[in-house]
Amino acid sequence: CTAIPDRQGYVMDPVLVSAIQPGIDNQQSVQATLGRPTFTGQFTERDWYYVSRQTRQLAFNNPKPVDQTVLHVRFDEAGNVASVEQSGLDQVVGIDPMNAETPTLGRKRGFFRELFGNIGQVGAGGMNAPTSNRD
Amino acid sequence: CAGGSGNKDVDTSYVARDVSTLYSAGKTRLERGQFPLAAGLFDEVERQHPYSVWARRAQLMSAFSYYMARDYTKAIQSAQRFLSIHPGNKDAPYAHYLIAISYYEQIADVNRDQSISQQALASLGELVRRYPNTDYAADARLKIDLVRDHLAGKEMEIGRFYQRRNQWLASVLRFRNVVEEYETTTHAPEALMRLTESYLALGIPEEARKAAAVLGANYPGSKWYERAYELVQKNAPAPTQTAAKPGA
Amino acid sequence: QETVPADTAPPADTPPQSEAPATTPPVAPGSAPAASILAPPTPIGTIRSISVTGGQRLEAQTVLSYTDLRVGEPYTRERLDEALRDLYATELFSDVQIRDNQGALTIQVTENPVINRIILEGNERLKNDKISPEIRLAPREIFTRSKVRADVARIIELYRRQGRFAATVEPKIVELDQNRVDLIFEINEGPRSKVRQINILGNEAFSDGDLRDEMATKETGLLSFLGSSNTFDPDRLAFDQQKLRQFYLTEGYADFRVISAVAELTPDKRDFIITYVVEEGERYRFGDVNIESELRDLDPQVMRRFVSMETGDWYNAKRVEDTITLLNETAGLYGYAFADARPQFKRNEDERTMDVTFRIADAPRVYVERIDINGNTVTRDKVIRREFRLAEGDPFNSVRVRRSRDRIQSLGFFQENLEIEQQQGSSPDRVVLAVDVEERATGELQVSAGFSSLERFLVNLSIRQRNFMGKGQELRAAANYSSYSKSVELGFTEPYLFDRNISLGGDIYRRDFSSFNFVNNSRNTTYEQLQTGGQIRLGIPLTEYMSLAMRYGLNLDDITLDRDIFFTDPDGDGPLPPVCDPLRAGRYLCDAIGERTTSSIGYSLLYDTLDNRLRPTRGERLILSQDYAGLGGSVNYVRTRASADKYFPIDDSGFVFAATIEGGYIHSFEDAPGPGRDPVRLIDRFFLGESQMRGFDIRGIGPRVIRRRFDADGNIIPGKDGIIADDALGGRAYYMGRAEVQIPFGKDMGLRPSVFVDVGAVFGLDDPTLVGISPDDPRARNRCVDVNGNSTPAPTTGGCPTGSIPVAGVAPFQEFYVGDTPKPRVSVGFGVNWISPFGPFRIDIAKALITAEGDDTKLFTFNVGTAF
Repeated sequence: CTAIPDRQGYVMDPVLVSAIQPGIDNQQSVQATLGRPTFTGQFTERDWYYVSRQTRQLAFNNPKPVDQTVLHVRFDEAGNVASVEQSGLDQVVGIDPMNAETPTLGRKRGFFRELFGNIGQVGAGGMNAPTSNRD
Repeated sequence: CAGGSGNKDVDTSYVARDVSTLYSAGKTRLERGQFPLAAGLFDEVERQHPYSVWARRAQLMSAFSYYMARDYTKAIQSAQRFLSIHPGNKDAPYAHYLIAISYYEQIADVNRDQSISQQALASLGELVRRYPNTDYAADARLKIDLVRDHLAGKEMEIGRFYQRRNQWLASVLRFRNVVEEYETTTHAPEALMRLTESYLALGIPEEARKAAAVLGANYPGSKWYERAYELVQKNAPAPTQTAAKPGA
Repeated sequence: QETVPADTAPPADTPPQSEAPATTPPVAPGSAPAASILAPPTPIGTIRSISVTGGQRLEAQTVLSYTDLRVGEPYTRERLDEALRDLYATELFSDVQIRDNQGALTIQVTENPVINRIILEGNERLKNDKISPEIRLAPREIFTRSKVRADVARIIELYRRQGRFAATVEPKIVELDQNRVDLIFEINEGPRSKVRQINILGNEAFSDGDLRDEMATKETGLLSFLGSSNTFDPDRLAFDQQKLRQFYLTEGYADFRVISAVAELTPDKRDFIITYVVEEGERYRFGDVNIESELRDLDPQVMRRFVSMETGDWYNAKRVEDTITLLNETAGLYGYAFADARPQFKRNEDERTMDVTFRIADAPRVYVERIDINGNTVTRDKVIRREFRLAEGDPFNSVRVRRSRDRIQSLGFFQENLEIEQQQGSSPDRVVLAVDVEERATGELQVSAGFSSLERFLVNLSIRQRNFMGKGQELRAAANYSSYSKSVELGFTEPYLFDRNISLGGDIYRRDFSSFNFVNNSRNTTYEQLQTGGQIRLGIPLTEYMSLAMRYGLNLDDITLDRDIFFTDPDGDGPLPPVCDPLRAGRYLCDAIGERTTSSIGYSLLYDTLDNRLRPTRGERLILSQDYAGLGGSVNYVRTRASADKYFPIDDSGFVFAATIEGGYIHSFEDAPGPGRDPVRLIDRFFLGESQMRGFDIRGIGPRVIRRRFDADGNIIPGKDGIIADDALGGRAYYMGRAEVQIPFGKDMGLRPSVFVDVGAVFGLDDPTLVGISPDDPRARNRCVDVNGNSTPAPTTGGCPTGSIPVAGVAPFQEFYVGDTPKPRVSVGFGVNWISPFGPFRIDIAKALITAEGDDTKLFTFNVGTAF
């Protein structure tokens, strides 16, 4: 059975990307040609990132990255393009996320409330029960 | 949930009794803890004697009884009715506080819809804005932080969901949202660590290093920074060593 | 209504502690009669003091807070008027006057009364619980004229929707003490106005009747009591106009226009006559049809084959729309997330042709910024989010959004027409997808009793939670009891194990049912089967529409026969236990008894593109499944089954055509236990009959052994009345086909009638050895059998000699083996599925056209379940 191909993130168009030249373009022109970045640098506005990734998903396990390009456009203070770098799949690191969590409050629903909490009309049988759900 | 049975039968029986017997009956019910009955009786006071001074007090007491009976929607309704008629009354702050608390008590856990939390946030905010120096406002400010923390928790939950499904880009967008809008909450350090993980998985080591650096600067002792530091050392050692070692 | 003595003046209930900041000076007795504004023309004086009188419920301070008059400020007449307007605007007061003597203002208010009770009178058709939620006013609220008028309008609107346009509502007030009122709505509903006649002018191409069929509103006729489509409803009038336009557009009349649609009351004011005046205009054909693409790298010729209309066909707007959606979808599949096809028409009047050019434009590049899920108070966020076919940050793609909507909808937890809205994101090329869900009751506690021709009286108690813990897990517990089967079942499914889309499920069950057959409609049980077992299921998706399910099942069968009917004790009450007597029970039944364990693994491959799993109208489903029993256990076989269903709507007439074909074969690896005995056990074989093939009795098709009696002079009685036993043996292979057309008549009353043709056969079984007792066979007469087995004819009088035991003679019969042929049996019939007020109700009337010898047919089957 074949894996399901999928694309995540920015639709990279090589022709447009090559049109961006350091020194000539500034933030407006980059935005005009490439559109808004997928996200900007976390703490500075001067780094624009366009992330595009092709993945393969085999049946039930998670999508595996097959091909990836990250376009990093760096601007100087004046807002002109300082440098344009592209990085591929090599930078990608396999990460398995840490499963600790910060606790949150909020009422947890008890077991029986879960089971019976959402019974519509008792004996609604084949008909779909009316939308009112009483606890 | 406690049904407002007391209110129903008293209403139809339309027993006209004078103000003080009704009011004191309500009060004793309240002390005995029969909250729905008490609420019903206070409503009766207001209905049969709308113009007595006791009617004004009864409205507040009925709102309080519904709140104690955990019938939050009715508590909010009667408190709002009180405010619509007596906006300037000296007990108005208490009514606002009652509304805010009623919403606050209904906040569901992070996996569920958070519209109630938004309403709680709005009513708490209004309370603090209208009566800044009452002790209700002090309690409200504390609760506002808790609710914001809760909303950040929901964003984190969705971010972790995307991480588990290898949708790293989506998780980055969510965690950045937490760092930008919920900086002061308890989730910020974990969000920064998650960002380090996701940036590395997206193949942007430079941003990962920046996120880890910010985490190290603000929360040096946290377990999140330890994890982030170890990840950055292993996967994206910066050319120059900037961040201090955790726990240093 | 009770009349309460009108209370003259509100009691002078001076509040215990005075609230008003300013002291309330007593009203000077001698002041001039209260003209509305006594202030002399506009001297700019300063307000020395303001006092409020007549306020009982509202404190003076609150009344003051509504005006902007403050002590110490200058005042003019305009400001007093403005204060008056403000006070009236609050709707809290029925009358306000401001009196001024040299700067000491007195605001004299009479408050609006408070509502004590609201009573509805005269409403038979609409009960109180339908009307009261619509009324805004409530006890303890302040009574205002505008709110009463608004509520009256709301009640009248309710009646209009019911089709009662002559309804009138009269509000009445009963004054009570302490300025309170009882509010009474006197309703008289008037007759329900019906549509007596619909006539259409200006239509040459199509008859009035054709056009009327297109409309939702129907003329009052004989059957109109069944539905409400003949009541007059203005919104439906507009809807009908649109339907007319749509109909003409699909027939090529591009210039069609509805000039006027008028509904007049009949002279007796009871019903309406609707008249449409239409202008059909010319009929157009398609001119030249071509495709242009702005997308640089999408070549139009590739998309050409999706355009279904050619030059010369009659113009049809619907086909244009279908082509557009097709173009968008295929562009989406080719990865052009932002393709957006739009038609451009060029009309050339003289040749009456319409040129269509499909331009595939480069839609703006939009990305999904956030996906917000609201309204899920029970379901967890991830259960909905994991159904989304796109994640945040991905390019926006309408095909995937619709696919996500379908997947969320088929979860079955939410309201009927759920939509995913697109809201503007933080920047022009960002969009936020928001889905507002309203959760339906996914927990079903069903207690139902029913009566079916299959199982006679049956009671069923089941609890099922399809969204357990809000995690989308399904928990099922069911117990049902009928005179012929008792079963307890427990089931659990987790659709997304560890958040991966692996579904894991398990069931355990204990079923005890007795199989029976009909012999000239007396029902006798043949054998009891006690089944206990469990199953573990695992399912994974292969592609978007294909999925694979694997299962392991362990099952213990214990088959017993009714001892006193079918068993004979060879040595009376001697040491030997009674044994199953093939003469009485038949050889194959005696083989079947005993305990057996089946331990089997199996897989099924599923391809499913149905649009709705409960009531599909479009799409197909193919299933191939194989089970191998033989991992331990006492049985060893492999069973293969395959089925294919196809549903397609017959254009948008509401008819749905459903075709199903199904087949199966079981091959046993054990060798035959003896001559004439098939290696595959009786309960593992395939049977075909009442529930699958309509028109036939339970297990009415397939190989069977029938026993025929001898008549008085010793030859076998042919025909039905000769049969004294008819036991179906099932077969090793079967096939079945069904074509069904669902008719959309009576949809609004929950009726779903359908016409069907069923075809099928069961065959493939080793011929069993037949048994027979001819009339002159010694065993046909009573005899005495001594201890070592030889029998002597029993004396006609008195008992058997000592030492031998009496054995009753068996009525002579002869067994025949019939029905084992692959020849298709055909039955045709119609049935109706009705969700009646007291529960689901199904009737099928089917005539078996082609049968084979030995088949048991049945014309009429029904089952009714009442859920209470």
